[in-house]
Amino acid sequence: MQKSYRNGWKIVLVYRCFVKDINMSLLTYKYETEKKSLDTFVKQATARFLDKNLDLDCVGPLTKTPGLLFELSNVYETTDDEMQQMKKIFYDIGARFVSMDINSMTQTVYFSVETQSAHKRSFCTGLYKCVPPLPIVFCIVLCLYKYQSGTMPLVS
Amino acid sequence: MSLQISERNYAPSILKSHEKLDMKNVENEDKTIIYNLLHTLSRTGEIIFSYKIFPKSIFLTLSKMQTLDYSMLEKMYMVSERIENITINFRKKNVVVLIKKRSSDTQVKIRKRDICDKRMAEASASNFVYKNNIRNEDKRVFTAIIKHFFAWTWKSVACHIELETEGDHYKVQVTSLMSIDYKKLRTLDQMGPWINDMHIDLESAVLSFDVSRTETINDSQQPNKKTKYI
Repeated sequence: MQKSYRNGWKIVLVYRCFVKDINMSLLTYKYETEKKSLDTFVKQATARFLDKNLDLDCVGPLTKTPGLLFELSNVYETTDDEMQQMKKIFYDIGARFVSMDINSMTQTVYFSVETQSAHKRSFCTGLYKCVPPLPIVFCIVLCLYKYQSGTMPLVS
Repeated sequence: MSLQISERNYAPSILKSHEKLDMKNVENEDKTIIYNLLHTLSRTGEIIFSYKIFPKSIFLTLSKMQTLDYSMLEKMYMVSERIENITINFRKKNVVVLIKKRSSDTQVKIRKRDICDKRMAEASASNFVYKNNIRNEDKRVFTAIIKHFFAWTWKSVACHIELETEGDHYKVQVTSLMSIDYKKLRTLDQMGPWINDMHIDLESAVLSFDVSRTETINDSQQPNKKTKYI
């Protein structure tokens, strides 16, 4: 509520009631279709890392492609072999692509894991590619018509 | 080989001279910049600072801060021309100031290739706007704003947007951001006068701002002029 006064007289009372309209993530894909597979991926990855006494933290879903960002904090010393082994864990679970980012300032390692899309394309999805463009369809129909009626200019 | 020194200190509420701050291996000129930065921030409350020195730059990390305004970031950026950028790290709940060291040799700058697919980001932004209940008059502004957020989080974690509307006045809250820097906020601010009240809450990791296309009559500070109609 906003009050404003002018020369001691109350002149306006404005009630501001904000309506919560939007509450969503900025993603380029449908999260609902991927949610189940991403959740199982997180469970599997954290369990596999816990087996090696590593506390992996899932930061959230990736913006561009179906996938997740994982964070491994308090890493003070590591070797190339260890990092490759960690990457391999993600590939074993079913990751499509894993990229790694080491932040030496915060002693944190980030794993950007792209997963296989759970959204399966239906049988009819690619059918439109087989249909030729409309002008070509018209030409074919016209040619067939003219060929049947015997007025085809090319066929004498 | 880079020289790395890390130190933790408490910034007192009023700092009178930078000599009091025991900063080993820091040149006097750099010390003055750090002192001025801390002095600018000291009014907001107690701050813990640490720094790392590299041959060409100093990373000053400020923690225990709870809130920050865009105006405060502007003040910090204006402390010295050697302040390259100010990054707000929402995950670690700290602010990192990058101070460049003065060097005589000319540096070769390598421009990074754009990571973001601009067309796809724009398409996704317009899709986001058209799906949601945003007025036709404001769709273009919101497409531009959301396109920026898509670009900033392109190969990273998706941010979360909460929007409250009242007519053409919008309250935007961005969560799940990993980090944001002063230069990005400046591009947001420079988009137009309709973006205001940029506020950063480090405790709850929220960036909030208002988007308003109209001005309330009562908000204008212009003096009243009496006009005579004859």
